[in-house]
Amino acid sequence: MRLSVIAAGLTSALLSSHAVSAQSATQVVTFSVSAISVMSVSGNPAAMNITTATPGSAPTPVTDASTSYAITTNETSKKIVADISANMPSGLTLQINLQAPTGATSAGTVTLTTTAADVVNNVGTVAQSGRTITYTLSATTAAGVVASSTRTVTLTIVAGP
Amino acid sequence: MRRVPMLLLLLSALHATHAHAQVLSVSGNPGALNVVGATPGSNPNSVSNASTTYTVTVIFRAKIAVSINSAMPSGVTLSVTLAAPPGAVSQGAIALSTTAQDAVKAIPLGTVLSTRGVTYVLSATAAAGVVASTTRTVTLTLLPDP
Repeated sequence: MRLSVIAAGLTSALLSSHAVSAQSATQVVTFSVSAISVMSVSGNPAAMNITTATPGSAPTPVTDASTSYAITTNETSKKIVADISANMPSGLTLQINLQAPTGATSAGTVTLTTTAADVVNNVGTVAQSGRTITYTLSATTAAGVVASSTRTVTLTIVAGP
Repeated sequence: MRRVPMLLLLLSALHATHAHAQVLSVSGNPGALNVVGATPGSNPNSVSNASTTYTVTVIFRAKIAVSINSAMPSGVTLSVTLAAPPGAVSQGAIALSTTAQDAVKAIPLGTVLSTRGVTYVLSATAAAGVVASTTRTVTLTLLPDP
């Protein structure tokens, strides 16, 4: 009888000790986040046609604010520059104005040339879309009649301030 | 009286058996998780790794808790999902922290050498910035599930 009591007690103690014991295993996870700076545009703006003027003034400029851009960067001190694929015809000016992402600064309305110009400065870490792009096309009377033509506008994220 | 040493021997054997009867192991370490790209306008793309497994044997109803040895960098999240053995319940993706959290619950008595997948997901916000390669030790702990 005493033997049974001892056995039961020991068994119970052993089982309960295992019931609360913890077994563990470990894994080492290696990770990193690379430098990422990407942007995209929503599409092409509609054709911009100068069709009229106020008598006594240069032809009336036209604007298009139908497109936008999206940007993601996990870097700091970046900026956005813009250029066009070929110079504009004489007397014709194409300008661009980018709405700045949060925390950045728009350079305002910038005349596009084949040389990259700053359009947004002080871009920090951000993930934002729907930032408006506004184009303005203007012409002098001396520009004359210009047939439909295109320019490719390139927006680039580069090291800034 | 001669029966007492034999009984103790028997119980010792039982103890030794039980010491190996409740076991948790992993197949190894996952490959490096590197966040490298993003869709413009969105936070960087998450990356995942499902190359490793864990194997569990339990003699009591049990659960598995997970934790890491130090907090993740700000804006970076490491999550783990443990697929559940038959009859158990996975808690889905767990964002790992230094506080142990249940990843699988209700592992039934009698589960023997059940091998299931371990899936890691690394995600980062843009504000997290660039993070140099670093490591965290993930601990899976088998505990009684009352």
